[in-house]
Amino acid sequence: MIKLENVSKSYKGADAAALQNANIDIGKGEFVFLVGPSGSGKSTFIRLLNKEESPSDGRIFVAGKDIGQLSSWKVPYLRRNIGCIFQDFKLLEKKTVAENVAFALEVIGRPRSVISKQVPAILELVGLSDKLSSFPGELSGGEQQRVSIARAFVNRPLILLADEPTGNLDPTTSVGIMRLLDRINRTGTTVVMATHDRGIVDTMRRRVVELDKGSIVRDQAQGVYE
Amino acid sequence: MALKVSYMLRETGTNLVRRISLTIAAILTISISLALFGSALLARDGVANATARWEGGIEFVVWMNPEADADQDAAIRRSIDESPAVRDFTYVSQDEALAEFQDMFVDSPDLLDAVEATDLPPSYRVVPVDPDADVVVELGSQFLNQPGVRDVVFASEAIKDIQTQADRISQGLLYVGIVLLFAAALLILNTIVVAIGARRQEIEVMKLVGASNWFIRLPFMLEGLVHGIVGAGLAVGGMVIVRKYVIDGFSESQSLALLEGLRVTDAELFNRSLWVLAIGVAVGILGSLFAVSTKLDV
Repeated sequence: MIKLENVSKSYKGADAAALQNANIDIGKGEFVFLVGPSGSGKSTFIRLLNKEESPSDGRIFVAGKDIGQLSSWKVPYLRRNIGCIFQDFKLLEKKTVAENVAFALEVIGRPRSVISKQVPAILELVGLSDKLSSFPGELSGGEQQRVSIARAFVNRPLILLADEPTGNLDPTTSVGIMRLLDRINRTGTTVVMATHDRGIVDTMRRRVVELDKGSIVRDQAQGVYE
Repeated sequence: MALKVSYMLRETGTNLVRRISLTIAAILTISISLALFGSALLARDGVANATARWEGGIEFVVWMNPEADADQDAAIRRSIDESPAVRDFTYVSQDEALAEFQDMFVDSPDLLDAVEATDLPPSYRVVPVDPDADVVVELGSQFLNQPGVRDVVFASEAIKDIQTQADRISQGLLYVGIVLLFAAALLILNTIVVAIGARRQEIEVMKLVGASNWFIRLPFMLEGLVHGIVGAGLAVGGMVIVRKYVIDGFSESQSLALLEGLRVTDAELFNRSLWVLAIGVAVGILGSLFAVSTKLDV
């Protein structure tokens, strides 16, 4: 599903490369943790996959396609197959929970009939059926992250990228979020999650890819944090 | 598709209303600049109509008697043609005079009905080699008492003055209009940049979930287009007022007899309005296109 061939990424003005000669193959339906200290290249890895950044060198394949060859007008179509969730949720404060999720479908031109069916269904899946009309500011951190997951998954993407999704949440809430991601993964969606959360990685025992100073230093099936 | 159209219109409307003071400023600037621009064009049309007979260096007109016979006409033609002091001349037949009259008074059907070709004398419009007033009068006067000639009319200094002044005024209006149009384009650009800034978070989410580039850009471009169209619409209203109260006012004024022929036809007004609308649309689209292509990194 995801393949990196000798991928490097350097930012202008930075001393060292953010990612160096990375090679990895992630299969369909896999759940992969990206671990490593801050600045090790986890976020760059994620931003390269949804083409927010382009590699300085090497090739990246997503669902068999070399995304380096994609013309800019095709990038949105790549992103429709990739859901993204973040530490800071990125919800729109002036829209309700339902509107935030509907927005993701609306802006890619889904018909109203589809939106009115899929939005309540996905919010039920994430356990927020009773919060449809609430605004993000009225929700707890965990609930906001559930809305963010609903928005990322409502279009049933092939891949879900999560950049520190539990970074702002307490341990109990984090467990709930991980259960949800696990459930989504079981539907066949490939999940790539960057995290600092040792407890979660050690409990879930999934594939762990460790980055250090931009290099992949460990790739372990059913791994632990370190 | 229906959802997309309604989404675009809703977003455009929200953008326009959310920053209403900027919207009004942009629309007013574009309307004032286009009104000046359009009025300059109308003034040119009006003066061109009023002085049509005197364009191209024509200094005097020899009006023939409609009853003049062919020999008399040929004699006049020969003496104009053979005069070394004449650079060029044009013969305007009765039918041509009627066509010119019809052009000039196209909006006055009663007047048109009352006039026929036979009512209008044929004429020779003469361009002398030397435009000096004394020389012209001397040359023209030679034809005055010849058989078949009804009258000789000279382009007075006053008409030349009007042409020069009107040219200056309309040119001045045109330049001010163009500078203001540039200001209007910048104002539209800035309005769109502010709109993009205010919606940065929304745009970020749109990009993340895979909204197409044009889907993100179009509401902002429509906003610029609305500025342009509404501004141009107001400018056209301004031009109608200028024609009705300024240009027509001059032509009806008893004390300004020289400006009697100053008029702008409906066709000219329509034509200039289309120009103004097209320029409004172009400025709106260009201003917003520049904003989205430089400030909206999709």
